[in-house]
Amino acid sequence: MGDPSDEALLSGYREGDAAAFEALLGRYRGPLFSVVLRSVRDRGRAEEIYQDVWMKVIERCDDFRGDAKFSTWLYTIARNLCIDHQRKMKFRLHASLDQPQAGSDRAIAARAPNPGPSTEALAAGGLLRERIASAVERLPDEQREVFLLRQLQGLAFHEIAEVVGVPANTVKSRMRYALERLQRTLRDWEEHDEL
Amino acid sequence: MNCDECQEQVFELIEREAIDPEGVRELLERCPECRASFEEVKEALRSVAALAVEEPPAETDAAILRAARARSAKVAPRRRKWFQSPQWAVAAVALLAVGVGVWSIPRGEEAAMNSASPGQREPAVDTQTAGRAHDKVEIADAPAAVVVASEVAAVDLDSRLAVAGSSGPGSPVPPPQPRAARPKRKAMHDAEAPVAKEASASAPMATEARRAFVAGPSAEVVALEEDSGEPVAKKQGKAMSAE
Repeated sequence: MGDPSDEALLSGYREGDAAAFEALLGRYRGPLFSVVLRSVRDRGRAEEIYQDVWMKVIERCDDFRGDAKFSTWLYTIARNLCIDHQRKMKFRLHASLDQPQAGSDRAIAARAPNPGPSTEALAAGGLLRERIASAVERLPDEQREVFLLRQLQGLAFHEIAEVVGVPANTVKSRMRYALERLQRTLRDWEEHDEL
Repeated sequence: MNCDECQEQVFELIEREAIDPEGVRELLERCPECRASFEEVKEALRSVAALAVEEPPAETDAAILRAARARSAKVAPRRRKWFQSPQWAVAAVALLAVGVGVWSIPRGEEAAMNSASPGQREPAVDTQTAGRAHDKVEIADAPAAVVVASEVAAVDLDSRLAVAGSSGPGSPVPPPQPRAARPKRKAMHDAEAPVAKEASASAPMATEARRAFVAGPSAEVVALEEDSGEPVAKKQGKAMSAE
């Protein structure tokens, strides 16, 4: 017999089997945290949201419908929490960016540098990884979420469509645009290195 | 399929979700532009495959697991199987006790009737009630199947005793042993089979009384009747009415 499905594990947890929950956490902890981290681009916030996602799973596991997949349910929760967080941050960012900084007559937005990977990060090794991560963070939100769900969690396009709430063809288009943009960004950095 | 459609499906072909994979493959073989597009997407996917999976902090996972276990601890007793719940166990024991009580009531009435019999039977009645009290303890403790088995064994023993009484001392059946324990059905069986009861050592006095009744009044009674000119039973009746 193979491993129990995610849905069977969640059902076991609903009946009080804490080990089933631990197995679920083991399956999703890395990809889920990565998706959240690449979405919010802040490790501290990502840890908070990651924890909140699992707390919601614990609280709402009785509401989980058997006809849905656990992975789509989990990432729908994560996506909603990330969107909430980004809305809050946008509000704060607008407020702070419009204010001139102390000791400067220019607002932060006016002097924001090219946010490529730092020299230290590149020198520390894992150059390609750092560049990819940085390039992914620059993707438009709608392309980034599709790319991350496909690349890190390996969800099928129709499952991503369910999480994001758009048709599967739209998901495929966003994935294609995301890849083209990533490819272009990475190429630009390589050319910059050669100069 | 034209080149635009082909290039739209190149990505799907790589991801094994193309609508017309054979059509895309055919065009890729013929069209260098489509082939270049295909190679570009493949390269892009290869590049981004190096995107690292980040690990969450161990203490965050530990906090999540603590919360999950806390919920399990609350849920597990609530969702335990119904027959495992203490309330059901108590109810089942109570029902069993009531059942045994109801079952033993007719036996108690019978014992009371036996104790109201003439004086000669009193020792035998005492033995029986003592035996029944012992029975009750055994029955309350024993499972239903054991109780039924004991009753069947008692009936079987009585029939064997009846056979032993008729076949004499040379019979292979072992001699009857005095039994203290007697279930209700055994008493009914005794009433229907007095011969078997005579073979039993538990009621020799009752048997003697019955024989005396069948044989008629004793010599002492006859002498008394002759002295007074009226039956002894009538005398006793008069004395009772005077009181």
